[in-house]
Amino acid sequence: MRSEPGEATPGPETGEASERVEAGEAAVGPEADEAAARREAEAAVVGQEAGRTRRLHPVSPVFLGLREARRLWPLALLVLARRQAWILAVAAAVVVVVVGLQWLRRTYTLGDGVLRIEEGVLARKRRLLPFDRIQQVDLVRKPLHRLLGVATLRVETAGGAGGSEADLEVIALAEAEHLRATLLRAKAAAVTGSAAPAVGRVAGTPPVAGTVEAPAAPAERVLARLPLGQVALAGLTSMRGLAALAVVGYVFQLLDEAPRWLLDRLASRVDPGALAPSTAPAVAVVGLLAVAVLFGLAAASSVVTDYGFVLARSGDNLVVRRGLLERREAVVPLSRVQVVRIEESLVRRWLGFASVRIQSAGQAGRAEATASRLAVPILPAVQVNRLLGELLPGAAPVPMLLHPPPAARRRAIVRRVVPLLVVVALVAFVLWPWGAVAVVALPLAGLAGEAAYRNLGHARHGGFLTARRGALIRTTAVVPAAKAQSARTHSTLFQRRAGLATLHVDVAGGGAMPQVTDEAVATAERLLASVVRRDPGGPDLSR
Amino acid sequence: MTSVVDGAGTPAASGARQLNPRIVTVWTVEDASWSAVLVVLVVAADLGARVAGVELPWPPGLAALPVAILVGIATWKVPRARFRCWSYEVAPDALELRHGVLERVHSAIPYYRVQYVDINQGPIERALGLARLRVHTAAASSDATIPGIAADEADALRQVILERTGSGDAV
Repeated sequence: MRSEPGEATPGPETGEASERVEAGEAAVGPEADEAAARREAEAAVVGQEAGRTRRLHPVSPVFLGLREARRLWPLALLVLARRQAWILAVAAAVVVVVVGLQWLRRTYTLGDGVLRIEEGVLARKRRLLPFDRIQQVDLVRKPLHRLLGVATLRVETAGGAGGSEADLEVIALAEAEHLRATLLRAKAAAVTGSAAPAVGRVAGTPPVAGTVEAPAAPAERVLARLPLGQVALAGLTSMRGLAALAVVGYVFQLLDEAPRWLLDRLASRVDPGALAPSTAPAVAVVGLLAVAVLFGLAAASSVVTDYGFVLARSGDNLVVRRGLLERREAVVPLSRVQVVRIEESLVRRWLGFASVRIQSAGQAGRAEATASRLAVPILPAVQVNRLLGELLPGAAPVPMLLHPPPAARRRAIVRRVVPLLVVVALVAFVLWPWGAVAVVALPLAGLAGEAAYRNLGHARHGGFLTARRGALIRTTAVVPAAKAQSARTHSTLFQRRAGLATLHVDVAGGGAMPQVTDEAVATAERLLASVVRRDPGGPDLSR
Repeated sequence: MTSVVDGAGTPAASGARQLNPRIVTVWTVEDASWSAVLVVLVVAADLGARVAGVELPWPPGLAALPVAILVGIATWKVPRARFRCWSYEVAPDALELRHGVLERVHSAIPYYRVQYVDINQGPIERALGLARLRVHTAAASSDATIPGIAADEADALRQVILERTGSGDAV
């Protein structure tokens, strides 16, 4: 808990450490030279500030304290209501001491290619942000900031956690502005390898410039357009539609059970109003009406959101326009597309349709990072490959997929049947003898396992990994290996016994991550290695 | 304790490194505090039931004994098993981690995907001179935390990682 400002300086260890390590690891090679050149360039930019460890502005504890106070005010009210102000005084004193200590511990340093932030009284945290990963540097100035002549400096990278990666709350305004300029220059220097001043360069302007500004300029090419009928069909075959279908099934079951004479009498009735809804046919009629309404609603809601759906390519961007009452437009740079996901539910497969989801990494530092998922709600299956080729050139058509080894089939079946076996045994025991009927669930579970196995598959083709899974909703995920941020193989105890592993590929922007389920361990490991290579193109390495 | 761990260390692939054996102490202390909470809860439930008038065939508080024995064994065994299963490798182009007792995980994070690096120390880790190194990529789901490396080693390691990141926004 000591707090000399010098304590946190990277001084002795950083320089030496790097040399020691480089001597030990010969593999660094030209990259080390490159890095050294970068560092020199930065030194020119960062200048005499390099390596100087600084604290935040002395009024910082005020902001920290206010935040604590905001969190604790309900408690404070409670205490006040009981007329025990001394508790409040003690709590306030504690908060003052804590935020004071936090301020003492919180330092930042520029230098050695990174912005380094240290904090923490009991648990220590150090964050090292390389200059060239900085996407955006913002100054936040709320009224209190203005009053005190300070600002919060907010540094953002493309990091996946969401929110900004470093909040320096607060710094004197002049220093914050200077720091911002320095960081931006250092970033530019680190990226280009020269100390050229980047005056006026806006942080975080991503390489994909001109995202939103020109809806008219580049010629648009329509990739998918949905007629009204298909939009309605999308609603009918969506989850809501399927729920309605389940009700239909139930109603037909009721009709089957209804005695013949009741149906005859229903037919002879002229006045439907005279039907009491207590009779089976009446229930059926009311039920059918309800189903019609449900279907209608499903279709209507789909029409409201997706009427006139158009997916187009405009320059280097994907543009989606849709909506009946309110025209919505979403734009995603094509280069940010991370995964294309083809989803085919059972019903849509029968009807020859699919839907396509486009997962993309949001612009770093923007709130819309999560909202940047586009979807084509429904598409004739025959058009899927053409669209895939447009979204990920070279990825189409979806190749023949390799199935996992037979052990995966066993596992798919066993993991469904065995837990169910326990449940069935329990039901049969408790509800004997009628409970024994539950046994029919077992072969069904077996069939579900078989179906799940048959829908597993993957292919490593060109620079892409295609992975398929799911029986009820068959999902085929196509991910460019160059978009893999990292990859993992997972192998549970049961999988290990069967020699299987599941590969997960992590991509930027969140959402479901593509996975190759239950492949042979060796295959999964080969895929892992091939996906995280720097040049992930090349031949199929998976088998 | 060190002898237990050192003797059982797996001879991993070339270049693979083990965690610092002191991490076992950290994990044991952490697990022990959870175990203690569990035992206290069982005692409370036992006594609470009696206060509520439930007749229990065993002497007050004795229910906690088997629980204490079980979690005691787990508290001893699990951190050691976890240590044996943990290794990391600073491979030429990616950081590779292998860990997990029941579910084995092998994850690879290419250096050029690294966005930033965190080095964290809890109070116990600090007392033992250990640190946790976490590498962040643009994907939130990346699994890239190495627990239990000596604090100075963590600094050297992040230096290597940041040397190799290259430039650009890596998305």
